[in-house]
Amino acid sequence: MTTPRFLLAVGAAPGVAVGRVRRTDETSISDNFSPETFSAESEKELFRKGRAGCVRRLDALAEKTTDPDSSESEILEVYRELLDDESVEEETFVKIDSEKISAAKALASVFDELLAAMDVLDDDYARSRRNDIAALEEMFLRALGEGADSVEKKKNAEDSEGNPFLLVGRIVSPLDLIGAGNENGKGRPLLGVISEEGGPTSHVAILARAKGIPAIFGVSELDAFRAGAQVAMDGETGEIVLDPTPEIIARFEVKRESLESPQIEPAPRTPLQTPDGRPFFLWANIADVAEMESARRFGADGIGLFRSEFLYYVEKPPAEEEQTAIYRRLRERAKGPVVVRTFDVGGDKPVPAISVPPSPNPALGLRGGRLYDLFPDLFLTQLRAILRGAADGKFGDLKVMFPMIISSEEVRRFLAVLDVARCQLKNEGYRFAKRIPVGVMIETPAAVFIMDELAEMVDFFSLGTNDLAQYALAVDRFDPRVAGLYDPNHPALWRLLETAVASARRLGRPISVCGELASDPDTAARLYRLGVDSLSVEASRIPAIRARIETLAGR
Amino acid sequence: MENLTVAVKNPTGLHARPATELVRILKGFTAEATLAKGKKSANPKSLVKLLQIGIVEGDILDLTFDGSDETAARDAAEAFFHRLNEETGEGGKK
Repeated sequence: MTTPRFLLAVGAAPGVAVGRVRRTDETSISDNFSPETFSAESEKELFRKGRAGCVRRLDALAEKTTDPDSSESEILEVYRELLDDESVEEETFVKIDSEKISAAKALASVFDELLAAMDVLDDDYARSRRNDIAALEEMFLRALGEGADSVEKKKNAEDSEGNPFLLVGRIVSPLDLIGAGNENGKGRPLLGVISEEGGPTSHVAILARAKGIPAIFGVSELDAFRAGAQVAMDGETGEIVLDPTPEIIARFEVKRESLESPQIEPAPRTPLQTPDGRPFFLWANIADVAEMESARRFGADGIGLFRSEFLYYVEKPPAEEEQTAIYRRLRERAKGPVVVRTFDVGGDKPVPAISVPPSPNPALGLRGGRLYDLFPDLFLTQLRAILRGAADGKFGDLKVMFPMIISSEEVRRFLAVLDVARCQLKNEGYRFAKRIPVGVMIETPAAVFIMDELAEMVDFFSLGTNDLAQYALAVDRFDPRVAGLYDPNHPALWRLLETAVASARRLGRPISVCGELASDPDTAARLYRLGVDSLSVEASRIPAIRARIETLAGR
Repeated sequence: MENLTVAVKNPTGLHARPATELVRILKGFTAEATLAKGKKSANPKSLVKLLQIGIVEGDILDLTFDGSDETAARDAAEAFFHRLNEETGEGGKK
């Protein structure tokens, strides 16, 4: 009996999976080369055949992708161009001729030089394109080793086997993810991705997030992952368990089931209503523009929470132009309104651009809006970008929301900065939205009891139930020693929620819930009956919650 | 011989997709093209070479075009960089 091994690496795409390992490098690259029979011409022919095989594979993948604007199509175009690159052919042929080596060896050496040059680039984004080149090399070499025709056949054979698997390898190619996923039950049964290389802006990460496939990068002990071994993974936390016990599997299965939702066609659906007949919306929580595709596919009525702090998880904080473009794109791509929460960083999640000495008690220390006075330029830049991103749109398409409020004084200060942003933009002659809806997170008990004061300054409320529960119950649910005390059905928490929803009704301000509490269909139904105007959850949970609320409203 | 000097203002630089677009545009011309970024240089008709030198926001690029359609090639490249600099980051609209 094998003992389970626990590993922790970098979660790159959320989701939970339990399955058997398939190694990317299972097919060894054979090189039946003998110097006696060397012929430069036949090696070159091998190269051309291999390339043709790769082109056919790309074409086959392209047939599966229908949306020309999708990230899949973009990646296929890039790979197509890389394959067509004459400099690769030229340099490989020169090596074949001058060094009298096989096509595979020559190609590998050309790519080695390329990758070495890319390793020294000092820009994260540029360097993460290294994955694309490395993945191309692997596909190419495999095609050379197996002969042109077998690549595609083998792939198809693998696909039709239909056994779900977790893909593990030093490098995972974005091509492995194209056509994968479980939409409509078609596609390759790829459950998750574990690799050594990869960054948050790599094509693999972008595709995995768009498809709802969990991915974990930065795993160094890949040798431990034998083909066929069982693995449980959580792409949110970066947690991996190799050879899990039945108890551990059960724990992951529970997590997975709570995340997964029945596949419900998003297209034909009637608008939802609250129990007393007002419009009711199901929104998605997202952290980057790529996740907008999931949100649309799962039928989100809008984006109830854009976690803008994810824009800051890079060395250099995003410039105003970049942020403006992101907010504009969000507004244009969403099915409904988009709520941008200004950066909400805490002592527990270090961000290079926003670094503060750790608070002795992070939950009660410098976090959320409390940081804006310390980083006035970042805050002002973000508000300017939001106002500019809202330019030329309909009023209410883009909204701004402030986190971690305990007093109306804080909100007054933030609104003053918003005014400064407006004045500056006007004087500088930029196009921007003169009016924008402003909201606050209700995630402290203090905020719940001053909603009347807050309502004089803001247009909407959003209940952040994770923090509200933590502050109401004084329990850190991530501390295993006290996690048992965390009860999402605790009457004190629900009395707070009732008070907040009743206040919002009385004050005539819409109120939403964007915490984890809304993700469970049962609790979502309870919040719906309480009279909230909308729920904002991870996109993949929307269909299950919609189904539940439709049943409630049906009678 | 035609010259073009451009500054890259796109926040994600000349990332994979726009680089692909530039390569495809320039392949449409017979003029020989070169692209230099400081001491590094690359053939702008090769995507591999472009990714290899890693063009990022703030880079100043010097391009040359030499051949019968050099003026048209230069204009096409200039229009491309103009669009790029207007554009968003990852996956902007065409």
